[in-house]
Amino acid sequence: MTRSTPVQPPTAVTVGAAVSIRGLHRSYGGVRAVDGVDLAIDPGEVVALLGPNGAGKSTTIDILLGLSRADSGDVRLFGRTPRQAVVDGLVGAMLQSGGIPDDVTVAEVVRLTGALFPKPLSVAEALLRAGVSDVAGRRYGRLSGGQKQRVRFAAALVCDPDLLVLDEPTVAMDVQARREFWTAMRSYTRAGRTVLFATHYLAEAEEYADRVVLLRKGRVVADGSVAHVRALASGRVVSATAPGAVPAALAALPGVTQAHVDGPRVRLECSDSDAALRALISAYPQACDIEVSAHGLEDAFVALTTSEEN
Amino acid sequence: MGALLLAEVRRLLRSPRFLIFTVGFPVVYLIVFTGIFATGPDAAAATAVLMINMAAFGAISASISTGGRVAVERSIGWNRQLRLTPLPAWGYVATKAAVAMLVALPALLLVFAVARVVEGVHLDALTWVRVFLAAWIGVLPFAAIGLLLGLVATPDSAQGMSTVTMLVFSLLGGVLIPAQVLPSGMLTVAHLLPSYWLTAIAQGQASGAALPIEGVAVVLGWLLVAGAAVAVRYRRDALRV
Repeated sequence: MTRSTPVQPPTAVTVGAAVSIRGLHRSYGGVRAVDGVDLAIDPGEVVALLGPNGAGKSTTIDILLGLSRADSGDVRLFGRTPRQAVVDGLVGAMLQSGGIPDDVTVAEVVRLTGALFPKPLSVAEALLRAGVSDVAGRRYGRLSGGQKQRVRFAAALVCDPDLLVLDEPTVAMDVQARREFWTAMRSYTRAGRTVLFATHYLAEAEEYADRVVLLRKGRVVADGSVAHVRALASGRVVSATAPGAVPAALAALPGVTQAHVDGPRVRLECSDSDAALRALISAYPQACDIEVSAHGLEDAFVALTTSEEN
Repeated sequence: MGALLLAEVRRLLRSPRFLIFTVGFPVVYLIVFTGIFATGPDAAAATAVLMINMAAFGAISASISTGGRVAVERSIGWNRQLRLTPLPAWGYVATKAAVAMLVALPALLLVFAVARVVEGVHLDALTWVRVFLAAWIGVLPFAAIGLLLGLVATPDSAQGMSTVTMLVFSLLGGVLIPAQVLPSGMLTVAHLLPSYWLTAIAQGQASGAALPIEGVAVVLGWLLVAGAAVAVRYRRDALRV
């Protein structure tokens, strides 16, 4: 597949943006971890940050939170520096690399975290929102993986932030725990809060994000709604049973970009699935079991993050 | 910051192992050593020296051992977690130093109490206070050294590093071996160590001697150098992890 991936033009200064990143660069040794990222997020948006390992997700998040410094570029959260935004209690974050000592109880860590901020929620409310009220008195080291993640979520939201940053929030959770986590998240974002989360689970991005940002080799390779990003990986797929069809003839049909034949089953990648379908039926009247499907986000992800450097 | 200190103290009180090792050992040493060495006409003086040395030993090892906790907390990402809060860097360092000073207290107080009640050491109230304050203030450089170890060590190496550090200061500084029996070459080395002056100044307070300028300078010097190293190391650590 050869395609140049459209990237949104760098955003001009965005007044009132929750997150504004411009021209962000960061290298470690000779490796460009972040190589010119531009990103603006409006208040109230729920944005998924997707990308393979080493795409620059964690580095971008670290800089966004003031944990790491950029080589060049500008990062503003609500118009302030990352550190100032943290000090003002505007940002809550849950990092993979952040940890809580085993000998602290759940209520203690949430109380302590809250006490360091200017206007925290009550401990009870933070525990309730994260769904961990039942383990308040338990030591952190004695919790299950899913419970630990939700305690970290409670610690992230106890400062009552306007922006939540979550790095792989549901990693190591089972399906049930993952669902509970997102239920808690959803009721939290209903109040109009901004969320930026990095994830490996495409289904989560598809289901919970308003917007998807795909990173690859330190650059934004796609940015838009789930539908938009999916469409970037080109139209639809038509598959059918058409005995006797040959790939070359199929590929020559109007609207078809690529054809695969596997026994009697053919699979056509289409730029225009309507035209391709009409042509397929008139060329092979005996074609049956026809299916038309859109590419999943997963296909877009693979396509966009593995395409050759232009 | 008060909240962080409170949480730290609660965690310590929950860790009996920590208290037994840092408080239990010096008390046992005091009783054993007093039985062996404090005999004859100088018994009372020897007991007072042993009391101060064992209290110092316990206080030094307690404050240095807090570094091990720092090393573990760094490795699990607790420091990163704290950096996502408004807690300033100096607030973190000050809290940890305060914890290292606090954990030195039980060793000092308990050894003094045992010496008073069990071994019959008699000082007037004001002298007790002066001895206690001299010893406690003398722990300051070790709070900084412990914190520095915690910022340099990994959880695996922290235990060994703090044990070696504690032993070096205790042996060479004439804490475990009384300075009075150190050969003169070693005494020269001892005079450069804050552990030597911790005990020497506290003993001076017990016997009514004046504050030695040299000792105050050595203690302050170690405190400043270790404190500066902590500041540099903390900044580097924060940028790296």
